[in-house]
Amino acid sequence: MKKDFVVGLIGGIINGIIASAMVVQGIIIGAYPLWAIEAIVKNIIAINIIWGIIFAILYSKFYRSIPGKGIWKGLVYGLMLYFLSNIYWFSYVLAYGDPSFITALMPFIVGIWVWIVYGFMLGILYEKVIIK
Amino acid sequence: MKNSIISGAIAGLFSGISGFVFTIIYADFMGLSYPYSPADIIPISNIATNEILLGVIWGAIFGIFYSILYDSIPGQGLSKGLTYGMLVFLISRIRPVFYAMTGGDIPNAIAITFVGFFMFLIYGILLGLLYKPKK
Repeated sequence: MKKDFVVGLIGGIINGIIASAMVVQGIIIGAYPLWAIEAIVKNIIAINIIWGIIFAILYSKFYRSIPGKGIWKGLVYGLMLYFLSNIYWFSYVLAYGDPSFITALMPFIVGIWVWIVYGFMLGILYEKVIIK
Repeated sequence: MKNSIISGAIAGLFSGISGFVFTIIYADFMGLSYPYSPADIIPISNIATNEILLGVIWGAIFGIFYSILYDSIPGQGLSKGLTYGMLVFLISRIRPVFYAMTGGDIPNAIAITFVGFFMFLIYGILLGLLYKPKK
């Protein structure tokens, strides 16, 4: 239980930092309306911390089944989440023809590097803090 | 069945059919929002094609992930599949819905959650029953 808490905390902090960078990119490509940026920034960072904790706990549960070794496990896990979450979402939005295409592209384009960074950092910290 | 792709695709087919049925019930009969679309009316043929085709494709992909993570998923048989189905529901539907809600798209978020719950419930049960890993 203590291990899960530490892993969750790590995941939450990592995802919170990544979310801040994600928001900056969202503002640059014009995905967020200027009048709502403050609320969106707060929401996205909060959501990312919560999901960062959940995914980090799941990582420790599935650790032995994830392909790869050491920190590479983290990268594989990150890419699996990218597929399950972002690509899945993108495929449905695309199929239903959402007119605001930019909102569909956000999780597709921004998502790839978000998950790569998250996976790598989770993999590194998990090995350093939990395994050792 | 020992092939996770075929097991997943079959489970995905029924999950897609349930997605079609529940979208019709939710949006057309109850007059609420369509999932993934702000449109007022979507032709039934489009909904059927989208839900069933994507259901089969994603069912097969989720099936591959199921076989990879199989040993770490708690439970046996049906309960294992159900646990996995709910886990995928959490990752694939609930998480993105949080982001949709930040943009104020509440009706769409509820539609995606409602339809998705039944889809992944059926998917998980069928996958748990169909897929048996190689010993």
